[in-house]
Amino acid sequence: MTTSRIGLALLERVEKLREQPLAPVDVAVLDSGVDATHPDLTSHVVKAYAAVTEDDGVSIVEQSLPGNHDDYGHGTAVASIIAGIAANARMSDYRVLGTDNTGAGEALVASLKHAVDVGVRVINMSLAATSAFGGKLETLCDRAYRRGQIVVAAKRNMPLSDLGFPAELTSVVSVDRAKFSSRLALRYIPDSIIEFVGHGDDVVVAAPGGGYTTKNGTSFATPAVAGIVAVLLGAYPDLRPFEVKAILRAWAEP
Amino acid sequence: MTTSSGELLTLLAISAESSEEKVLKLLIELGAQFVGAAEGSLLVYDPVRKDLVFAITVGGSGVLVGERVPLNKGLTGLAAATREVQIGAPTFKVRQDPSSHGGQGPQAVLAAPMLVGDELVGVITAVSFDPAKRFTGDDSELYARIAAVAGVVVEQRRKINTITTGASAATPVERSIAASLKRIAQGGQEALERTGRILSELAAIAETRPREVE
Repeated sequence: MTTSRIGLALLERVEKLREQPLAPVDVAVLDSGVDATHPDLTSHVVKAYAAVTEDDGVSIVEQSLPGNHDDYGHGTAVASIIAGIAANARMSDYRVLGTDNTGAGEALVASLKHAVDVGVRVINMSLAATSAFGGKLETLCDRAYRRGQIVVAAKRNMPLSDLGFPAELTSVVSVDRAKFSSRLALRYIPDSIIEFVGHGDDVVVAAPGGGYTTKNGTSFATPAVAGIVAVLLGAYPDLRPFEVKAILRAWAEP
Repeated sequence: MTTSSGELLTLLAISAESSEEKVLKLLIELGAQFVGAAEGSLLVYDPVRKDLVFAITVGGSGVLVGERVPLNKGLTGLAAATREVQIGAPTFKVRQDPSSHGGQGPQAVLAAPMLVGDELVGVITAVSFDPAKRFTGDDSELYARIAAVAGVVVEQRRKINTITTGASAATPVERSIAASLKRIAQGGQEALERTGRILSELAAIAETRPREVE
């Protein structure tokens, strides 16, 4: 099977869904921040938060909008992929790197807790934490699953002893990357901890300050899947997480 | 190839001309060649100043060695902050036309963190100035593995130090503090007196702070 045929069923079905009116779907982007002033994102980003690390823990602080809260461009790229697929996505930007860009694990946990507590429907996590945070992330992802929220998480690119958390957890939709001919292509991998493979090579994305660039990695395959999930939920708002996974599996190519 | 042995010794406990230093140099050289980069480098993480410092460069003029890089900017900082390999490409103005960029400076950047367990010890990078060059996902996987091997080199050095000295290996913070004290000692009488005044002021602050809280 050539890569150009991978996920064709999903591609056609999602394109059809995108042609019909879709209900707005809240999507959290837990990342390096988002440049909400970028023309591709201004109408999509409705909330912005920053995880602020203090002596007694991490607090989530609301940020002004529109504004550029992204030092690196990673979160802006991720958000632009979601916006490019799901016109109905209303995004909340969670900057999970602390003010000095350390403490990502604690900030990730605190941001995920906030997103779950406020009921964001789709949560995109293109940053993987180490197994040290596995327990806390598992509790939060299980809670999200029970509440009908869908966490989409990236496999770690670095070859460490684990595949990255929360991607290893059963309650999340986990994503690896490959080069496909379409951003809506998807492959399902049976009997794998990381269940899905999305388009994550040479992806054209928005860059902070305006303009575009290209990105590679699981970080950029993950928001493609999150965008597809947002389209699905826009068309069928009552879908539960297990139903979303079942649809993705049925529509993806093995 | 240019190396700052001082930074390698201070922050990674790897001395000049040791087998570990040679292996690290070789890894950077091979990595840059494999991914077709014009330059490669190894930056060491300084846990006290919370930044990165160039310790080894290949392919360039070597002027970067000793330069410090903050964690809050660029692909190198992002690789350190996220503990993930990152690929960078230039920004272009028109979405449908990737050639619509300025074409100045680095055109493609690859950065992979060096880890010992969960601890960040540095970042290795590859840079290309060719406007047509783009690092691929396969390049990033290769560089991630080279960074993982470099992390093992640092870990093995620490274990050898522990065995040979019979004591627990110094943490990066302890090594950084020890290096700072060494620099003060080398600074002569004036540096010692200045440090003495700073320490006195710190002691005074420590004494007054609890009363302010009351």
